[in-house]
Amino acid sequence: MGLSFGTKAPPTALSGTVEVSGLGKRYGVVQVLSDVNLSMAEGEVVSIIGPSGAGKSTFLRCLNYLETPSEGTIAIGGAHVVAGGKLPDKASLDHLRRVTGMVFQSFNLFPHLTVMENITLPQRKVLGSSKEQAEEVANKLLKRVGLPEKAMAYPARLSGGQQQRIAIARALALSPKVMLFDEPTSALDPEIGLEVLAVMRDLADEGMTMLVVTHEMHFARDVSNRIMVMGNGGVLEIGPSEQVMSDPQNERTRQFLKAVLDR
Amino acid sequence: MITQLLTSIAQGVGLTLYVTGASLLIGGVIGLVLVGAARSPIAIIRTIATLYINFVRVIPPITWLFLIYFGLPQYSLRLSTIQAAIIGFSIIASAFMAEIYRSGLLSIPDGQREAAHALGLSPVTTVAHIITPQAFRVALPAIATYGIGLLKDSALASTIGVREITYYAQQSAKQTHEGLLSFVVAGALYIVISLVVALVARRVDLTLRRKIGVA
Amino acid sequence: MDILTQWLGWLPNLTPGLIVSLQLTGLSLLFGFPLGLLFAVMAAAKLAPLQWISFFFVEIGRGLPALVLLYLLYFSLPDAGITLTSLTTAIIALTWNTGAYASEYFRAGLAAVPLGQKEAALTSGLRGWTGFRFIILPQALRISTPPLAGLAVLVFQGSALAFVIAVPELMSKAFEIGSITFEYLSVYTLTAVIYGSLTLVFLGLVRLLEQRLGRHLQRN
Repeated sequence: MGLSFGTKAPPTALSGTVEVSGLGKRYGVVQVLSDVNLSMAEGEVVSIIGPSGAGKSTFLRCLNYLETPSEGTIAIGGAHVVAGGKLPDKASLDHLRRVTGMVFQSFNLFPHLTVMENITLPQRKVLGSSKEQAEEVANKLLKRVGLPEKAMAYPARLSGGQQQRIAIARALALSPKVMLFDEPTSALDPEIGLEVLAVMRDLADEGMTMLVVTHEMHFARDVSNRIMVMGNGGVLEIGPSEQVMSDPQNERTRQFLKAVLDR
Repeated sequence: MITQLLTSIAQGVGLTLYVTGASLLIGGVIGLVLVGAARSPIAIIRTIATLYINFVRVIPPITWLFLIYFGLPQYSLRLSTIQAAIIGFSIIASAFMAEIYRSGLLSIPDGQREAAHALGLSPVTTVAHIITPQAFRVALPAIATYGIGLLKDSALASTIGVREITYYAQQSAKQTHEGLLSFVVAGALYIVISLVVALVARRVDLTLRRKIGVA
Repeated sequence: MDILTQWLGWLPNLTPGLIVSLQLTGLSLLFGFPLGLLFAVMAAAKLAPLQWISFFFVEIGRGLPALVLLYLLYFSLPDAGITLTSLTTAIIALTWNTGAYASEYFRAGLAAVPLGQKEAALTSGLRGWTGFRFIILPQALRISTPPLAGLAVLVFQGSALAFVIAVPELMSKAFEIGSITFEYLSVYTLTAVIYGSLTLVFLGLVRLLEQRLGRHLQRN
């Protein structure tokens, strides 16, 4: 079942591990995240599900410091950061952001640049690649996400699903060790969302370490190795996908899954 | 020194306010006529109004003033400095106000007119009681902003001899050789008046917001 | 027929004045817009003194009538021992005025760039100055361009004020002709026509520019 695009790259031996311990975040007196721990092996795919306001996106965004955690430690693919107290130094943050790639709910493609430029500019500025090198990588990635003909188009002319696939290509262009997805299909029609999920599935098959905040229960069950259920800023439950979905241990998880799956 | 300058330059405040206020008022009224004409079903009226609005705004205010004050006497229309200034600024203000009204009117949803029509209200009643109050409330901040702009433009009246703030500042500068100080004082006066106008406008806007909701 | 010949006869006298007006406008825009951008960036800076300096210059620059600003510099600079030509003084005054208004448009433009763009730039490794230069600034500029173009038109009209400090621009040339021929109405009407038509042409160009800049936003 499902769609499959383009060429499959050989399994990435370069994906990374994730070690998060004791992550917490406060907004003033409100504790939005407390004591979140997560350990991921190379090539593992973990989906984060849970009710709104549970802190799923906040947690994800703490991992590349889009949000600043108040406490905890983060170790991703060789980068290591300790939160709380003063802000970590620029070098550590840069390293952290280089080993992680992020895909946003609202795609956030750069509207004033062509698709090609969206993918090559970060390479040229961050990796120092030449124009030719960057374009070569871009073309390969565009083939991989199934949109090689759209290189010279502007994002506004593309459908939501196409834009999101380009966004994935843009993130992959910097060879991240871990890919973070923040509700990648929530802004898309269910049918369009399938194209994006197919690309994500391919990526998982190729061995990329992926952490996905999502409401797509089928993806969570079929593609991810484990599911982490969050509620009220903490982890309610984490375990193998099949098990969490069919036989959850936590009462709150049960309630949530019932509401979601019985629609 | 400063108090001396202040008392002498502040003599101009009266005429500054008078020229600004009168021009805003007259321009505001003419603007109403203009915006009505610009929406008229009769093509000629519409064209004339639109041409007027676009024509007036592309000419510098100082050129208008000189045109009226120096040019009209050739037709035996000798105006006082104050009259020329007010006429000039009123013409300019009318064009800008017409545009402000137009934006205000555009922001009123068609649904309002449709509801009025369905209720059987006459066009005049609709415009007078339904459209205008809402459009006015929406346009008020823009009108206040324009008013402050007009206040600053009124300084130009000094170039044709109107004895307002800038005129007195020039006099002081020449007589006391305190050029910097004179114009700092003048500048401060303009800023203070602008602030007062802005505060009053905000107060009025808040009050209106509570009394007249807008769709 | 009479008027046209009269007008054509005056054009050689008025043209040098027009050129000075355009110079004044052009230079004021050339220096004023970057100044405005600087003010806008300073206003968003973390350092409080930068914010205050920006606030001071912007509020004076746009709180004062342009004429007062002009006189201020004209009368005060010589006292400070700085002697400049009238034209230079006018350029400084107009640049200050332009920069102050432009800074507000730049601030609005910068604020209007969606937050997601900044985040995407960060996660794509385009941070700091690079991210600002390639991602944020281009988008902010596109948003600010229409009001900035309107400002440019006002600056052109504002150049007419330089007349009062004896800058030999268009209005002063017109006044010369008027004082000699007493045909004030005619010469000022011609002046108005010149200002008006140039402004209209410029506005037309701006509309073209807007369309070109918005090209990337056109959907299928």
